[in-house]
Amino acid sequence: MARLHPFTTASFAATTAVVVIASGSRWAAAATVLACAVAAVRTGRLRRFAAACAAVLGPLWASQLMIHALVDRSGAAALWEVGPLRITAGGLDTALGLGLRAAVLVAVGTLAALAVDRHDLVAAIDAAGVPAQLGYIVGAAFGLGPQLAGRSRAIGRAQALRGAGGRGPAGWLRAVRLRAVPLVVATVQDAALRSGHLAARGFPASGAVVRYREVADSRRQRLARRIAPAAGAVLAVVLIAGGGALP
Amino acid sequence: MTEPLLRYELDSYAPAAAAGPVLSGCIVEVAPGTLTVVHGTSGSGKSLLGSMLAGLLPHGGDALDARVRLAGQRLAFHPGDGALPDRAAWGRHVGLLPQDARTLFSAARATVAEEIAFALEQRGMERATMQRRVGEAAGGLGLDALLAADPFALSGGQQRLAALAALVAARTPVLVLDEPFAGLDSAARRALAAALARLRARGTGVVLLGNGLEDDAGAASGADAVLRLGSGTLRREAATAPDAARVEGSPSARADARTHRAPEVPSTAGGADPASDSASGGARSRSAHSLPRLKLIGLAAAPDGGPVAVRGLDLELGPGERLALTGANGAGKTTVLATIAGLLPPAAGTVLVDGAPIRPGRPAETARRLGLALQHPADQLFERTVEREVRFGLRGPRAGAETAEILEQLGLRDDARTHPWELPAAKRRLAALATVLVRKPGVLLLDEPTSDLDADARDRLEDALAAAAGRGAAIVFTTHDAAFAARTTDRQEGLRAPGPGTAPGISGTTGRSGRRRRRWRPRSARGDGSPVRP
Repeated sequence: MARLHPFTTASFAATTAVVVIASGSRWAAAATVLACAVAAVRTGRLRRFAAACAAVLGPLWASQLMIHALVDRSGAAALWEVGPLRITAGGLDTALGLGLRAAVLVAVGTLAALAVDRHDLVAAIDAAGVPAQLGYIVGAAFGLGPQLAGRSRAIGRAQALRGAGGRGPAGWLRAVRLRAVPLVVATVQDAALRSGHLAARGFPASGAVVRYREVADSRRQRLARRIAPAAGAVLAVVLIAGGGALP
Repeated sequence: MTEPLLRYELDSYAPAAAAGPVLSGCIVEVAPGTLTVVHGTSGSGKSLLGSMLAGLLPHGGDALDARVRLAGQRLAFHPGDGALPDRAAWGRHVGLLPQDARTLFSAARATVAEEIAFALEQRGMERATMQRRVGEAAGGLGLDALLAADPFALSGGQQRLAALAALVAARTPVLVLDEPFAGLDSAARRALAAALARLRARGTGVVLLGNGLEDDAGAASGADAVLRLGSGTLRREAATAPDAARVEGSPSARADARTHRAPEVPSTAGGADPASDSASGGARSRSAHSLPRLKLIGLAAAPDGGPVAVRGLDLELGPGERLALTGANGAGKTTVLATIAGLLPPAAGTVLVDGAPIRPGRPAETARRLGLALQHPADQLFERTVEREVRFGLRGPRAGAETAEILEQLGLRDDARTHPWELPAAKRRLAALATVLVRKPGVLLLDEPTSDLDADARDRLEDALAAAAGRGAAIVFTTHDAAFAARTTDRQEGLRAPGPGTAPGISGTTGRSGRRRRRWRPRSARGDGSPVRP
């Protein structure tokens, strides 16, 4: 299969999420989440997919459960009641519906994020005619994390060999503080030096930028990523008007 | 007469934070196809001068009095007029390779090829032309195999070459190179020298900022002008090709000088010169120390999350012995040191220090037996003065005296109250070295300790290594500086970069005495009873 342009992936993901949520069908929502998980398995990204989904959905589901299920104030008969806690079938149903909608958004979004090559995304942003700084910020943000992590690791190891840090929470805090000093100073200094070199290398460009990296694209993809959101929006309106949407 | 590509007449330059001018009376003229070499010690202001030539200085608030002729334009800067160079316009005519090549990288590109193409992208160049330019620049510097690599995952020497390739691809008429040979292996140095010759033949004017050592001195032999930066002022030296060996500060010249120089280090060898006879001190230590200080058994080393870079390392190092770990850029030298230090778990094999294994992931335990100075010294400095930095972690009534002693030994006494980050590169490296030496570890590991060092700093390092060996420390350091390694070590081990059909690992070794040895044995077993000499 031809590689999808990052914007095509994003377009399809957004369309899918909107239509499924607008359909109001819990079966469709569950099937979409399952399909995302299967796709993650087939592309070897299940661990990262599961971790990212869990990190977002865990707190989200917990909060919905607390708000809608544990302290439901509707007139429905309580399934279980103790003190201020009052669990009702209606509350659980609401929490389930909202939880599934959130799961669709998170699963589709996460799968799309994992499927897109982040450097292709930056190149696509650069080629989209938006201000050059936007592409640079996105690209540098992607690169900065691993760089800082690597440098922090190197600093921490070197300092540990000098006996920095210590045992227990106090020692850990001390090690973090000592590690932060060269990390922050070096990062700030690098940024100051790098900005000069970036300017000398012509960034930001006064004219159009042509990226060395070629991002796969085609007329069909361009057409598809324009049609898909429009068709999705129409479908969503029809579904909602037909009473399909949302608890 | 040919119109110069760049003529910079600097009357004075004072950074905003400085009390007065740090540079004055500097005139640099660059004509097409010429090589101008600027020598100067660390801290002399070479990098400042390079930044000025490249239009990266002044910043707002700096006081610059200068006249510049660039690409037919005449520019004037006067203190207080607030004029700043147009960096983008200047950068189309002058490119600068900074001392820390990583700062040239945009940090927003995934591969070396994309980093090389960054400036071309900004010009809106056609992709096909870009690809050809990138291929030519990378090929000329031997980087073809690294085009798809992450620029920040390269070794220090490879990063320098990649940054240079970016400048070559941009084809600026003037190139300013700040210590371009530092950290390069011999093949890379040859590739760089050939690239400079091609650039000059094409009409590029090259300014090389160096410390007068090794290849910088060699480059000076073909220079059209040799300038020396000292006391903030440039003065012209012999314009004709000088004999590299006689360039002030060149290794052989310094070696001559050092034969008449008394050591400035405390010696444990009964008054013997530790620089020349440290091994005898080591031999005495060894007599009371039957175990090798450092022993590697079948060690395989892999960087964080990466494939095995080096395997099958077997070696023994006795008290007072010094080993230089050599090898091409990217061969895995830094990874080996980190693995010996227990910072990385070995992929296979064992590291023994004084007969006891080094347990990975227990740096506090390891710190009592072993010291490591990193390739980038700034990574291990965190205190607000050099003295506090060196004294960090020391206990007992001797802590102050020991700190003062090591600062004196490394020529840092006058910098004791300076912030480590404000030191020039050479002194910063010596400060990082001091933090390790002051703990008197039994095994001393140094990653590229000669990088950034000028002649005086190298002499200090040499003396410090001799003193450490004299008290019985086993020393392993990585280097591309063959002359320094030959002068200061008992033997050298070459790491072979992995290649098609070959297993990475240690290649042949050369003894300081000229013999080839693979293993250290107790001196008594050798039967000669004589120390190994440099």
